[in-house]
Amino acid sequence: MSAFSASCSTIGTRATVIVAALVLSACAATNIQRAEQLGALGKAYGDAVSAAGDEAMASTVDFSLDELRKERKGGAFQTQVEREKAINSEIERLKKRQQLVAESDAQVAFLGEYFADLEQFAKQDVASSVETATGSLTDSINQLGLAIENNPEAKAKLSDAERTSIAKLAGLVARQVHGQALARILERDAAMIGTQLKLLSRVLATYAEWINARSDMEIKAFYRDNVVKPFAAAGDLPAGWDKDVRTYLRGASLSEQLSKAQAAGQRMERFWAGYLAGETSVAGMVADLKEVQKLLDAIAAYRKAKAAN
Amino acid sequence: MAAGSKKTTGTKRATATKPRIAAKRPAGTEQAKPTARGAKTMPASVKATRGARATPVAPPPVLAASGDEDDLMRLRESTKATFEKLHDIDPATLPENRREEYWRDRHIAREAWEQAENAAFVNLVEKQKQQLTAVSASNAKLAKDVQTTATILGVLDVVSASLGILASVIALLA
Repeated sequence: MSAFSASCSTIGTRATVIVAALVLSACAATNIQRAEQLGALGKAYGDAVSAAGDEAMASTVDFSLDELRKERKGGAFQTQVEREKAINSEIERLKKRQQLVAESDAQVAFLGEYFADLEQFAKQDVASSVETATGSLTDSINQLGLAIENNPEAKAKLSDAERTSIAKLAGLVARQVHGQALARILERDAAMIGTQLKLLSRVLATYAEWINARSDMEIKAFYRDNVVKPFAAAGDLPAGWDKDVRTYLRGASLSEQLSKAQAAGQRMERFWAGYLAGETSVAGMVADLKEVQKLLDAIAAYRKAKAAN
Repeated sequence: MAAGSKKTTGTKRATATKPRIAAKRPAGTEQAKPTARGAKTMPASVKATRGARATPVAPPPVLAASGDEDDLMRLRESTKATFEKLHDIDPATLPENRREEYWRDRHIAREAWEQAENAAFVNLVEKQKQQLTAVSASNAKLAKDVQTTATILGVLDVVSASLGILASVIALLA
């Protein structure tokens, strides 16, 4: 009975250890995965904001120069002095904006370094390194034991199976320590990450607003001048009219999508609080970012195609 | 422009001046009422233009390095609305003698809008800069965490190597 009891106790203890190890391993894996995902997300977010800044700047320059040309042609500046003043102040404003975008980009890049390091640290294969190091350590212990006994026939203190188990257990502990370290980092930096993600979403929303406002105005004027007017006029339609209608439709569709990108920016602003509360997943945010990136590419292509025409 | 805000100042002249283009514009293309929230101060170039002609559009805002975020957003929206209304007008529908004036107004309105956009963005970039110390501190702490982990692994390697060397020495001595 007592032997059975002892055996049960041993089995129970082992089972508890195994369950505990499994739980610890799962917790560690979750923390490591969370940190890795967050690091990748932060980096992707920073990249998307920088790309949006480039597009916003390009769209601003195109729009301002186009407007300035029209104003000049329309007679907004009567004298040479007025024209000089107009171009100088335009260049000043554009330079100022370029400088602000560059400053913001630098901050975003600095934050990107944090997220890249976080991702790198999370990806670091601490367990394997510790397993290898512990394996070497047990080998050294065995060698040392053999050397001290000074007997070539002496058996190793630790068998191969024990050596492997020790190494694996050490790896598990290392993974757990790694996971805990990452969890501590995320907890410690939660406020900073939250603030930065909020700021990033505001910068992104600002860029989207710059692009959207200009695109809306251009599309409206294009519709009036290139689609409606030629059609409403008597006589034959100009040769490129169909093409202009298609250009308008494509631009109008992009303009609508830009509004969605602004909504995505607002969702991103609320992301961190939801993420900490366990209500939002990183996957949803990554999908939003991919959409924004695709949209930016489409807008850049449209702008270039329009400029080429 | 949101009414009722007590924080911004306005220009009395802007609100008192009747928009000249709007008076003779075809129905359905009314010009925006000049915004009172336009300027805290006016750049010299705009003052000169306005002094001569009493332009009805909002003057450009000063390039504020900081300011109340909501005010800056409202300023950006109101200057944008003013410019957009002018932009939506087809200049071809205006009488010939009003066109130059229209283009001047449109230029000033665009200038005001672009400066308001810049001012709002200055504010945001300033906020980013203010947070730089927090990011910097987190970067440093993270680097330390990475270093600590590397050190622990390094110590294990060193212990292992030392024991190996010790074993070789003992074997040699024996």
